[in-house]
Amino acid sequence: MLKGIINHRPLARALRSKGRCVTALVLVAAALSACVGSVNPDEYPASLDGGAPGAESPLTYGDSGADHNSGTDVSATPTSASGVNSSSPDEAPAANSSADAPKEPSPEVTSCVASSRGLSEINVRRLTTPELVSALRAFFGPAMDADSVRSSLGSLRSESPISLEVTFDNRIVDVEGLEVVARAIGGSVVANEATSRAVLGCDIEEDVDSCHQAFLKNFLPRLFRRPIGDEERESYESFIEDIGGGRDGLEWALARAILSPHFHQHLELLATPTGDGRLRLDSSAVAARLAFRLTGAPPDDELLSDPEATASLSGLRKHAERLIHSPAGREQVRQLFRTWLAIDPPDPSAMLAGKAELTPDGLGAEVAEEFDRYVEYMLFEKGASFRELVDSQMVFPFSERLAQLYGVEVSEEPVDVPNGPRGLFMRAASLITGQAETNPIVRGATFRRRVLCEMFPTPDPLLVQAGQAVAESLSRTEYSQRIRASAATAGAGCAGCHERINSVGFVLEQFGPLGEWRETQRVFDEKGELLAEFPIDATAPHLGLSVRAQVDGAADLNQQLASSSEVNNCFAQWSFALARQRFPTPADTCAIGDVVQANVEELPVLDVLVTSVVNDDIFYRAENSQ
Amino acid sequence: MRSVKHSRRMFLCGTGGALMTIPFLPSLAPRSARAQEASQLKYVLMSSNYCVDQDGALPFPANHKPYATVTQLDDATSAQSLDEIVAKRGFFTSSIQGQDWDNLRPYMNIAFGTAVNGTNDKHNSCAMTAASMPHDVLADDHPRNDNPVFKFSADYLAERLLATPQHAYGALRMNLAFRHGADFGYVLSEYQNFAFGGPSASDPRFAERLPTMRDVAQLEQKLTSLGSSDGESVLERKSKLIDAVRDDYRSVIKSNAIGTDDRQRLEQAIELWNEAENRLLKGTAGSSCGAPDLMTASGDVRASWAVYHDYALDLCAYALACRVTPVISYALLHTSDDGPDNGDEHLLMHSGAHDDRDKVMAKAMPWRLARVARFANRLLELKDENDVSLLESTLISWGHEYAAPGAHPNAGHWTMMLGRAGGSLQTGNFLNLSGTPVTKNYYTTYHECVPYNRVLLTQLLALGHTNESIEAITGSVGFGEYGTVANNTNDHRQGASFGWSNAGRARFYTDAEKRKPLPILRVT
Repeated sequence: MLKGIINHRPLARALRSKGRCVTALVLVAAALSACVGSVNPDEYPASLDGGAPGAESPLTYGDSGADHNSGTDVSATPTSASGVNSSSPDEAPAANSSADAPKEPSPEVTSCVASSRGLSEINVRRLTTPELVSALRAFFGPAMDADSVRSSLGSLRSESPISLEVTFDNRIVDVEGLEVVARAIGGSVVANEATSRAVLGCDIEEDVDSCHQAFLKNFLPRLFRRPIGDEERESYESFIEDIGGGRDGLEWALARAILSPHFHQHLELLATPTGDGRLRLDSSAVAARLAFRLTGAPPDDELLSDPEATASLSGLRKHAERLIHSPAGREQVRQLFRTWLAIDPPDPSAMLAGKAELTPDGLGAEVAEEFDRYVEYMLFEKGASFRELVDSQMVFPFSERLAQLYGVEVSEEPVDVPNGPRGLFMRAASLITGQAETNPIVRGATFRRRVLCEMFPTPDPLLVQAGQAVAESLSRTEYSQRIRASAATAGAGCAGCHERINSVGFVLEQFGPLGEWRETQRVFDEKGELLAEFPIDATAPHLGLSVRAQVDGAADLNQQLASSSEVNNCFAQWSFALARQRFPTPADTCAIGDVVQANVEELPVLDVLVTSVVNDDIFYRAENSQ
Repeated sequence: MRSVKHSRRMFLCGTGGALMTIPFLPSLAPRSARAQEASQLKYVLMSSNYCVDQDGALPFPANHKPYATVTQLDDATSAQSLDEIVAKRGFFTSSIQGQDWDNLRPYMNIAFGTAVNGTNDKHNSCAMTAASMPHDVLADDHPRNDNPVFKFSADYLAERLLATPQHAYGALRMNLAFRHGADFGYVLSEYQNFAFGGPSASDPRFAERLPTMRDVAQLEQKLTSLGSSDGESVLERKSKLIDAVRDDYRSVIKSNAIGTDDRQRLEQAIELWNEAENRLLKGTAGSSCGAPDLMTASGDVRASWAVYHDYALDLCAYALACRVTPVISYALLHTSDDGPDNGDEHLLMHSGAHDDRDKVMAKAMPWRLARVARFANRLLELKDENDVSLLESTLISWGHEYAAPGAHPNAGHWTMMLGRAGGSLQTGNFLNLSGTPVTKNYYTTYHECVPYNRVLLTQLLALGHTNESIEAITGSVGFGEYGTVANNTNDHRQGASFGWSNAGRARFYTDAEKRKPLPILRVT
């Protein structure tokens, strides 16, 4: 295991560049090795191309041992990676000298070195656009409903969620788009008594001065998510005066506050050195981290008004469990799974839908909703573990066509499908395609990239061209998609990756282009005339994972994935990444280890997600080099 | 801004011009300095409803005989020179002739023979293409109702591209339904549930529609309210705002808790604010901004719809010249002062006698085009920040709803474009997009009409959008809804003045074709 980690390029780079981390990482590696066994790196190359120069593989925090299915070796270890259930006073951070500093957290890390926790946290991250809009809605409520505000929101930069391929762009590239929004909101707040009362708790028509005071004393600290100093307050007072006071002054001051980096950046300025290269955050920053990471929105009053909330992990956990069940928390959870698995299903081919007597329009949106319902039900109603979430036959056939697609009766309640697994990875939302035929190569590559966090090098265009020529030379009426794909990727330069890609793609051939279960591949012409039919061969020698076992159909694939440490690792990385807008670095080993361990212990996924946020990392960040 | 101390009466009685200058900083950069930068582009989308007098609008009778040399620009577009047509024929059409149109011909393109899909949910399926398409074309629970349909409106896309904080308004949208406080019937009652209606407070399905003004008083209010109570301009306040925000950034940068990378990032943001301020100071207004004699209508002289529209369009011209907004979306729905209202017009289109329809439209079209010509000539006269005609940096698009009298035919539309959009368009062309006629069973059909979407896409690309930026907003390839090809859908072969069919349009529905502009777009 240790060899595997050191061979791993990002980790190796970090080890070379951050000498101070070496001890911690060695300990972490040893701890993780003890937890989850070891793997021979020769059997499990770090990258898909077998370690070709320049190619990088995703981080792997822990690997499977022979007994990985049971997880018993993990739960038995005395050095649990979880930061929740144990404590170690010896690892307490340095005393906080600030008078208003929060109480020390209870340091509970035993499986990793506490002084590495939080070192990778970003000091000044901008709010993502969704976070920004959520924060504006939280603070400005009904003022956001004004036409001018609604249309102004289109001026904000649109951004895609991060992925393994796309890192978060932390630059501030457009200040004027936000200005449009800020001015619209400022105007909306002071437009009438109703909005001023809802936002500031005062009547702008009757008493402008009280609105000024409410803004300065109460609203600004909430907006900036920290106490406001005298100098800052005076600056805003002067600005209001300079604009001419009254409504106009307040309107423009509101715009200024929205445009201030104190609002649209996650600033963690109030922090105390711990003496080990880190800073201990003040309570307001910790609360902000908790709320944004779990709900994508700022802390609510209940969190802010609880003096015990940020003093310890148990205090935080209490609020985390509440927040994750809030509407915003639920949406955040849905977004996590949608983003991780890139759920954006198209409407199906009209021809195929017609053959199946399904209306194609809107089916993509319907299967996406079905996916959401499943995730929500399993997590919030059943309290499912990750393994249960992955390995289930439950579907939600709430419409005629969904029922038809899944081969069950219409029902508002969940039912089990008669054929094949569905779980998290094999729902119609993941499998439906807008094409008339499946493409096992695309499916396999997409699946591995998403579910296993595997990265593939860009194939040589000449090899791709040659492969396509081979595939086209094989008539689709004489050869199955599996045979054509095999032939297209049989070249010497292709096999390295495609052995893995195709293995998954071929097993997923058990699902048709609509995402339906099938026993045969049927080939139609453009008009829907049946041209040929081939039996499905959904077997594969192995998946190229740490445990090599033959795969016998989609159900077997699903079970292997449910107990795969690679899938567990991948989920841990995504749950970490979407909360923080970055994928983990070696300094995050403790936090990732917590998540991996919680999954191995088959804790409910919601607990795992809470753990991914509520661990000791939340209290710290690195000191900046000045 | 609500701090209006100047009364509307005062504004209308002659001080309007002076007030119009208030929003802009008095000490602008020297004109020579301003001339170094390209003029800001502007977009005006004018839409009329129902059919137009197609035969009277085109330079040929029903047999489509060309008057000028035909040049095939691409496989779907042929062109004739407007100048050559006029030189040979003496005029373009009965509705488009005279000095006003002669002035505009060098800035003009007429695109004829597009086809429209009116069957789906995206806005440019309707040739009106402005403001906001209703959601009521779909079932309440249709999943696409989640998507604000105004994202498929050309004016919205233009606003997203052109609006800057320098503009007091990202766009001004007008549908004049009221005159002297009176509701002009069908204009309001139909079109509040159709394009130009603005958001509805009572019906959540329509809450996403964009705000639309319904009388001139609202536009006057928007323009006069730019000045504040003590005469300080919005832009002076914006300058103060920028100062204060930069101070806020600096206060963070000074903190010891900020590392080098973050400091640099925040300093870069300050640079962006510096650039915003520079733009604010440099190119605030055109040199024509504030010319008081442009106010040709004032007080209560707005007795007719013609004067009322002309006055509103004068204000719109001002708003463009003074950089109050970069986008105007304007509904030109009235037929004339004594023509039928839109309700009667609707019935007439569906079931009226041919002669009656032709009489109405023969009168309505020149009346509407006269408004367009007058407005475009205003822009031609006005100068922008570089002292050149506003029409050089503006693109006006005038289109209409249905192609010809009858049962709402949706093929054979024509669109007029005026302005050079900063030089990105070749002008002076009559463009035929109707494809090669097919004669079968003694019946001639035009079945390869270019989708109307291509005209709108070309306009957006001319303004500076890219296919990628458009698709990032709309989430679909090309621009808007392309529908499906079926002879039973939108096949108005039997009802239109000419024969039209969708049969040959499938070739335009590949992604590459959807992203393709008209060949008049200059590639830079």
